[in-house]
Formats: sequence, C-alpha cells, structure tokens
Amino acid sequence: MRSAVRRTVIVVEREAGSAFVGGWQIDQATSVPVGVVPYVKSREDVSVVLRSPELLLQGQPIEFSGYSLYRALRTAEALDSRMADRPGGIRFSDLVASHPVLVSFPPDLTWLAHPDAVTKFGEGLKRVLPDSEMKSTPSDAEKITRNVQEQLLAHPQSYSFWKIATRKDPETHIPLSRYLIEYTLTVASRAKARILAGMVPVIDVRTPNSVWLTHKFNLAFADVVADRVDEGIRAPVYLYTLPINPGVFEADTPSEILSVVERNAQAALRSGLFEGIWVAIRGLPSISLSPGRVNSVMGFLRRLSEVAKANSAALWWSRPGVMGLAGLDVGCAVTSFSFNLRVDDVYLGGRMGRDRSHSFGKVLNPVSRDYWEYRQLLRSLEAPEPGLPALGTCRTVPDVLELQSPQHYRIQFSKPYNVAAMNWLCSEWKSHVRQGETSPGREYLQTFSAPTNQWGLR
Amino acid sequence: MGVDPLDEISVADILGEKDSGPQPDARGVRSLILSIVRQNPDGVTAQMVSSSAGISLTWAKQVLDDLLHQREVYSRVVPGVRARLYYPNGKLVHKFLQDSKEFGDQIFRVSVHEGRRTPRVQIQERKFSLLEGEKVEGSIFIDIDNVEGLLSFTKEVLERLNQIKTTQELEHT
Repeated sequence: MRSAVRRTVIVVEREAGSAFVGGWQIDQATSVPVGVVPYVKSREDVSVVLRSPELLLQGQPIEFSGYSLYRALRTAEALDSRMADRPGGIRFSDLVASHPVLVSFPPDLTWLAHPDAVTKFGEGLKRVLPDSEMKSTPSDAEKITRNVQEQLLAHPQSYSFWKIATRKDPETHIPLSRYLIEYTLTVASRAKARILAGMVPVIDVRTPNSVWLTHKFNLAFADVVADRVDEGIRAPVYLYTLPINPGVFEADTPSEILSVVERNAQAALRSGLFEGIWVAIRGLPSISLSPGRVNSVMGFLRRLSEVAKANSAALWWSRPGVMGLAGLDVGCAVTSFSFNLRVDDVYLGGRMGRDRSHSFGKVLNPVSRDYWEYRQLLRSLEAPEPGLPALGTCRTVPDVLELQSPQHYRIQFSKPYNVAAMNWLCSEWKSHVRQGETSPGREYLQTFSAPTNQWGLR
Repeated sequence: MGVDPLDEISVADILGEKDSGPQPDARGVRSLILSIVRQNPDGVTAQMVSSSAGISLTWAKQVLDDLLHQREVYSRVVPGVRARLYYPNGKLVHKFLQDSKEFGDQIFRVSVHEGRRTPRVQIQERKFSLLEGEKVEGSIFIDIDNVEGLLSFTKEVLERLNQIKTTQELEHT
C-alpha cells in the first residue's frame, strides 16, 4: 500500500472515557468542532441553511449528499441573488467558506437502485463528467451515464454493478468506476468540499468479500487524491469510507466480517493516505428494535474510534440523528443528522402517503424527549405555554402560513427547530463531558421515547 | 472452491490503469495530457498526445484547447510542420509553490514555474459558479525579477487613484 503524510489532526481538549471534546484541525486555519452536524440531502435543506445560517454554530461543518448536490446547487444559485438582500440570509459561497463541507455518497442509492433516485443521479453525472479530470465530451458523458443507469437498475442488491463497472470499455480502455471516482471529486469541488467520503460498494454479510472490494475502492480513491495533491491541485481530504448493510450487525455476536473491517481500517489509517473514517450504517430503525444489535453497533463504533484515535484521525458517523449522541459517547468525532431527523435510507423512492399531516414532518422536542407530529404540535398550541421549548435560536410555534403549508412549515419551522434542538443537545453533551461524565449521550437517550431509548444506558 | 470474481478486482482495475498500452492513469485525462506536454518542451502535436494518452484525436484536441484557454500550454504553427505544436507554459518549481486564495467572487491561483532565464510567477484568475465550478478566466506570467517592481507599480497606480478620488471629493465640496 502506498503511504503519505496526513494533512489533518484531532486535537483533544477534554476526555471522559471514550468521549472527548475538541477539534479536528483540517488545515492551519480551520478546526472542525467535535459534535453533531446537519446533513443536507434536498433542495429544501439547502434553503433552510441559506435562509437561517444563524442556526449553525461557528465553524460547524455541513455534510452533503453528493448524489443530490447538483440539484441542491441549482436551488442555491437561484436563492443566491435573493439571499444577498435578505436580512439574515447567506450566499452559498459565504456559507461554505465559514462551514467546512463534507460530501458523501449514501450507499442505499447504488444498493437499492430506486428508479427515481437513479434518474436524478444520472442528471448530475451527465452534467458533471465533462468538467471532471476525465474531460469527457458531452456525448460521451451521455453514453457513460446511460450505461451506469442501466447497470444500476438491472442489478439491485448485488455486486454485479460493481463488477461490470470495473471492466474496461473496449474502445476507451477506461472503466465506469474511474468515471465515478472523477465524478465524486468534481462534485466535491463544486461544493468547495474540504472533506470527502467516496462512492464505494456497501459491505454486506452475504458477500464477505465485499469488505475487500470496499477496501480496494477506498485505496483507489486515496490514490487519486494523493496524486492530485502531489501535482499541486487542490483536493479534499479523503476519509476511509465504510457503508455497511444492517445484516452485518447480529445481536451480541462478534462478527468476523467486522473484525476484517477494523483491521483494514487500521492498516488504511497507518498508511497516512486517509484522514479519518466515515461510517454509514443502513437499517438503523430495525437495528434499534434489538438491544443486542444496538450493542454490536456500539461495540463496533467504540473499536473503530480507538483505531481513529490511535492515529489522531477522525471518526465520522453519517446520519444516525439523535442516536449520534451515543456515538459521541464512544469516541466518534462527528455525527450527522438529517433535517427531518430520519435515519432510514436517504433515497427511499416512492411517494408520501395520503395523510396530509405526515407531509409536515416531525419535530424533535429535546426536553420531553420525543418527536412531535404535526397534530401533536397543533394540540400544544392550546396549552397555557404553547409550542415547543425555547432554545434561543428559533421560534417555538409556527405562524399561520406555516400551519397551512407543509412546505413552509418544514422550511421555516420544523427543520430549523430540529437543527437548533440537535445543537442544543450537543452543547449539553459537551458541558457534561467537560464535567467528566463518560456517557452523557446514552444517559439522555435512555429516557427517550422507544425505540430510540435502546441506544441509552441499560 | 472457485475464486470469487470480487477477489479478482484490483485497485488498478478500478482506476483503469494500464496493463498494456497507454491509458489514463490515476492522474485523469487532463493531468495526463498536461504532463505529456510538460515532458516535451520541444512541442507535441495533438496526434502525438492522442496516441501517447491512448484517447481519440477529438478528445485530445478538446483537452488541449482547454489547457490553452487556461494558459497551462501555448501553441503555434511551426514552418515545415503541418500540424500545430503545443508547448508547456512552464513547469512547477515545487508542488508547494502553487496555491489559491479567494477574494470574494475572484479566486487567484499563484504558482512559480521554471523559466528560461529565471523562475516565473503565474497569476491565474478563476471564477467560481455553483453549476460550473471553478473556471479559468485568464492568467499572466511575470519573471521573478519583476515581481517586486510590478507590486510597487501597482501600488503607485492605486495611490494615483486615491489622489483622483480626493481631488474629486474636494471639487464636489
């Protein structure tokens, strides 16, 4: 394995057990604070941060789904001119200058290959490839995109797509996998991303060798990034990317596949080619129903965080939502949460059910420790102290227009409140760690509504 | 037990690196072509680049045009040679001698290249748009001996601008 000198370092201010507060120094002038970060998936999420940047903490990073980035940036561009004149609003370029961006590629898109999601991914791929280092012509980009889409749709929930993607094209001698690597790097540069997690195959228990395929894709990404740096080209720092299917986590059973993952991660970090580890675990809603499987996830994260810490590198857990507090307890440096606080797959496909109230989304009440549906919020408006608890950075009750329009409700009320609630919880978590508490996240989660309470201390 | 086909996939397969004949390596087509031109200070034709990189002539010409626009290379028609020749616009002195800084909407990349007589500083102006990413607007080369002089000259002109502003303000009052 090639080796390199790492560009980033974890700085620990205070440690309590495995938990720590501090920063991840990603360059001389930028330190990412340890804690929770918002995850931008949709155009709506981009609107929320551009309209209300005050919700974000100083230097707090943002994680973007790379697959949706092209569409999200189109929205950002449309909003940019309006944001310059809007009190409190911010332009996208100013946002990313003050909040380091991580671009990642959620594994469910290539694994499940829902047609809607594959179509939207293709729109971005086709437009980005001509600007990539591969400099594809528009007609070649069109052909490559069609090929990627056809192969994804033809082979869901298998590794056939990846096998085909690594075969050289008989004419150009370039495999699709190479175009996909360049696509991810170009997407990251569009978002001015400072940190990147790659587009790599998900690890599945039924195919133990998938661990090695994921490892090799990671090495390929790291190789390309290291070459860019060697040539003096700006490139994001690359994280050893670990997307994992839920079947890997059996109840209270040490899994052989996870031991291999840990050993590979150890070797990868020692090479200096990777600045940390990015992990995404699919199926958290089903895992949460089993205390034994939760134990397996927590044990795995703890061991992975030890690997990261031993190398002064960061462990980034993608999209566990409020359960991320338990991840921080066991040594994750960063955990992200989606604006609607969902923890299931990002690209589920399908449409919203018939019940209109569901389209308003849920709001996290961090004090009563549960999620409020729209109807519950309406009921609370009649109480002596109406609405949600005051957190200082956002409103506690929606206005009349927001109560009538699901979109307004989500953009201007529920999503901003969720960001504020997660940041409030993280700030509480940090102050407990500073006081020497080793598991403040799990202590909080043990009294949360079920099944999230499975992530608490038992 | 047979070998799982997943086992047979190598990092080189993923990257499409060469096992026979030239193809783009880990650097990508743009960087590969730039390095081919840089390795040939006496000039290369698009045809030579195309066969050396293992890509089509149209593709090679398109990338060379891009590099021309970015002033990474320059081209000219040499008497006696029917095709246009492409030359490197300087080789980086060291990989750390290239950095970019943003000033609002303008991004400047400053790099130091080897020159015939002395090293030369290249200042490249770039613009960033959300949908197109970073695009090169243009660039200038300054011999290293002239950098200080150019900075003083720029300051001189700025001082003149300030004087004009002051005079105009006095006239208005």
